[in-house]
Amino acid sequence: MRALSRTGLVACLVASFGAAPAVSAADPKAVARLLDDAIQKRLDDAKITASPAASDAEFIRRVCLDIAGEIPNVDRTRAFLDSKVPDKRAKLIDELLASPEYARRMTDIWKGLLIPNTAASARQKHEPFTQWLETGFSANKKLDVLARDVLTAGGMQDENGAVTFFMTHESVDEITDRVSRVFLGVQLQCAQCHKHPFGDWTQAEYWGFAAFFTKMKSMYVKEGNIQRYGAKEDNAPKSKALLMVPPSRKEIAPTFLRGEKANVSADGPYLPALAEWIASAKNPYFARANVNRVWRQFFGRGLVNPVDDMTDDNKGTHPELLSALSREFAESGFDLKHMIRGICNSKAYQRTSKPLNSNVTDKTLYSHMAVRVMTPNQLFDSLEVVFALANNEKTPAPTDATRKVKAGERGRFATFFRGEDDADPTDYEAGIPQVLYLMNSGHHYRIAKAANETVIRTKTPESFVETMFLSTLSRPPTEQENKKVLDYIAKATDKRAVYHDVLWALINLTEFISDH
Amino acid sequence: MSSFQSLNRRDALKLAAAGVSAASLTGWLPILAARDGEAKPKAKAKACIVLWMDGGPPHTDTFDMKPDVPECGIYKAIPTAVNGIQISELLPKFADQMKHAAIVRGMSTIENEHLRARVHLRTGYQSGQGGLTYPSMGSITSEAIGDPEFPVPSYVAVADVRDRSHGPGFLGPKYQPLFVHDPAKGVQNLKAMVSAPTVEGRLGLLDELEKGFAGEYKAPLSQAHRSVYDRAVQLMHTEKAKAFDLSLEPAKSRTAYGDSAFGQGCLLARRLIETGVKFVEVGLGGWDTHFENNEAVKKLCGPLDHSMTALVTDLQERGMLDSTLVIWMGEFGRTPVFKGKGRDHFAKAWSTVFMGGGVRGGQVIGCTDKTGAKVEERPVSTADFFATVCEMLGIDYTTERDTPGGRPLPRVVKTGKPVRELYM
Repeated sequence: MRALSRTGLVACLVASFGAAPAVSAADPKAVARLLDDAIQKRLDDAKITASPAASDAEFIRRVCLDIAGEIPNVDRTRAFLDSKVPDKRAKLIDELLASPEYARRMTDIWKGLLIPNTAASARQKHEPFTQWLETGFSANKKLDVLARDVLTAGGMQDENGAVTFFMTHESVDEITDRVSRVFLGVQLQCAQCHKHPFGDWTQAEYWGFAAFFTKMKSMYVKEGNIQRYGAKEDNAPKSKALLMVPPSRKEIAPTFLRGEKANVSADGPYLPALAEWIASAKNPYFARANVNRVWRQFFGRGLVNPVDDMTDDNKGTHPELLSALSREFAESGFDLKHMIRGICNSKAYQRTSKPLNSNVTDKTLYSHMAVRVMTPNQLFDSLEVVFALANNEKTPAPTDATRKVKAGERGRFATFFRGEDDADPTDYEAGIPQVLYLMNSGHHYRIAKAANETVIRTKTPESFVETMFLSTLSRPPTEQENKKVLDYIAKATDKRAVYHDVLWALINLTEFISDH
Repeated sequence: MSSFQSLNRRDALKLAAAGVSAASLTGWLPILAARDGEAKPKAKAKACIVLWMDGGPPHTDTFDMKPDVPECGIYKAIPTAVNGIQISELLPKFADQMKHAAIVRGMSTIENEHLRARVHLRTGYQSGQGGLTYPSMGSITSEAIGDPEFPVPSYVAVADVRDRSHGPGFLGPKYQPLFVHDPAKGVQNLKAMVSAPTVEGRLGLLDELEKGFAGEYKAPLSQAHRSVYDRAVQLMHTEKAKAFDLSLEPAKSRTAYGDSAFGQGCLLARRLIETGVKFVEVGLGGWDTHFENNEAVKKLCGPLDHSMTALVTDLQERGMLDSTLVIWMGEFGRTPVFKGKGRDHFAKAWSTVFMGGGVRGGQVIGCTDKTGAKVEERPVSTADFFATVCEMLGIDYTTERDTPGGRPLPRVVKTGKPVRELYM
């Protein structure tokens, strides 16, 4: 709840963009080196020994969850573990970044960031927005372009899904808070009513920033039986305001944070100027906020936490690294895949999450990878990967209709499992109702089918157990585990249902729901 | 006695505010000493129901009417069953139950933003203070007076707005609330799809296979996951889980509580307390009335009046009211003057209502000035509020616990003093 000071901003501008030249944008390995040097230096200073590299099994599961949002299926895991290709990890990273699942995962993340979780938002269609995002991420739309497209979206929702962003917000202050938290990594909301208690955001700055959103008007057309909705900036006096303006509003002309007046005219639109300012390489907040958020996607915590409260008093753990990566991100033209490639190829990202006795208490210097909890979408998609074991040559190919049903199921699952907004990725958020769902719900039948089909395919209990471990935990069983499970199977009286028990146990394990 | 103490405290605060440090020091010491030495009243409440008005209800439209000030609202004050106490015309049924209720009109707190205020009023601490996540009152109750062997979680939250302010904080996952999203559905998937021996076999296998990961990765997640599974399995096995099934309730009482989600939540709360649950929160959201305050408040007061009255009446008829503390509250109040057609957040002066659990009903404690904007008598801080709730439930609010950083921390911020005139 503190704010960047004016002098801090200047310092940060210089640090971010004025110092040493960035590493070559074409070479993700160089980004990885830069990252590893910075991390290693801090570990050396603290005299902490890092854990060794992750095994191939740990790595494939982690990188698939982080980039594609789901665990690898058994065939992919087997092929990867068996492969002798020296740079197979880098190749896998590239493959995953090119997959449709990458776009789906980024869409989940950005939908969560941009669409509020409110009753008012739930009354709007979200699908046009997710489709729009997914198309963008598939084409590796650069993040500055995405931000500008969202912030200047206008028109009918069925023609421009991006406008959903405005339509799902209710008021000018709600959208002001979101834009500042998501695109700039700062919290302004306290300054709405009074000077920010811990920082120096003033009420004038708040309302100057909020003023950009006051021209958004709602659009409605009825053509025969079809009703269409949309929104756009508009000066017509009769048009209906889309976003409510709080009565406490101070009338202040559109002003960027830290006081620069926007060059906009009263009879023109406001938002293109705001979008230009926000998504500019000259704006230090934008690159930092987004690098920090990408970092959290892969390491389970931000270089600064909370990720939406980056201030001068809250410099985080590796300020020099954050500055260097922000510079790199801006110079790459805000290329998300470039940043992700760099992170995933680093030693820090590829370390095991098993702590050493000597580094077990370290939570901030990346001596070992954090154990995170799957998000609801990761859990749903990973369960789907496991349940696909039930498929055989008689399984019908998916159709548009079945895909729609599945999407609905996925949405309901995510809602049911959703924890608090923007939860700490390492916090276990599921409660008793969610656990009861995993233990006892109707997916019991899908467990049975997947186990039955695998029994047919694998022929022996030994081979069944190995396949099931690879399918769920992306690793073979240890000797001890193998013995325990085989004993369990041997002792069972119901020789068919016992295989269901094994799969049931595997998907109810802590290890299954974790991204480690 | 208690008002004398509170006067002392206010004087000390005034002096401190005036920067008279020596005087405030001498003013504080006897109070801190008294905190340890004084005799504690015997607690009557064995359980607590919080009716949480999410968004912040306006005091001047509900329990602190200012009939002579047009700025304060359009709704009239009406007499209640207790001579001299008036409340809003929007709560006519509850007015008849005033003998059971005590209104605290001097709530005066410091957080004006929703999430921060929710954390403040659910935990007694300020969000981010000392880098810790604090336990909610429900988790504190669960830890202090919940029976660890009891098969139903001691703390249940019937809420559609869920955030970290509900959580157990540093007390850990054992004291996590069980969230019920829709009271009509209760807790689903309680019945296993396989036979009882198979369930046992599966759980045994699960247990065996958990060991490797927990040992090698040492993640707090393992313990949390295990704890939730244990509690879920206990709930599957207990007859007491029937308390969650509202279909077992006679149609008459289901109707009596009203068919809103809030009404059914109140009924669920009564069933849960009856079965032995210690703390239930029932939420009624939508009080963030920045726009069109009058219409929104009227709409919300309908089910509120009906269901809160039904709850108090039912608890009374079942002989449970004396042992069940019921609290009506939000995270703050709202401005007594209109901003446009709405009211903004207002933490400086607002009201809460206490019922049952040993509360001396039919009284008003404290008051605001004639405009409802300032507490004039008997201010109650968040710490005072927490000390009160703890003491009423028989929880020692001065007990210190070790936090993850190793620093001992009292259950309630040290300045907190119970509002004893509520129950003495």
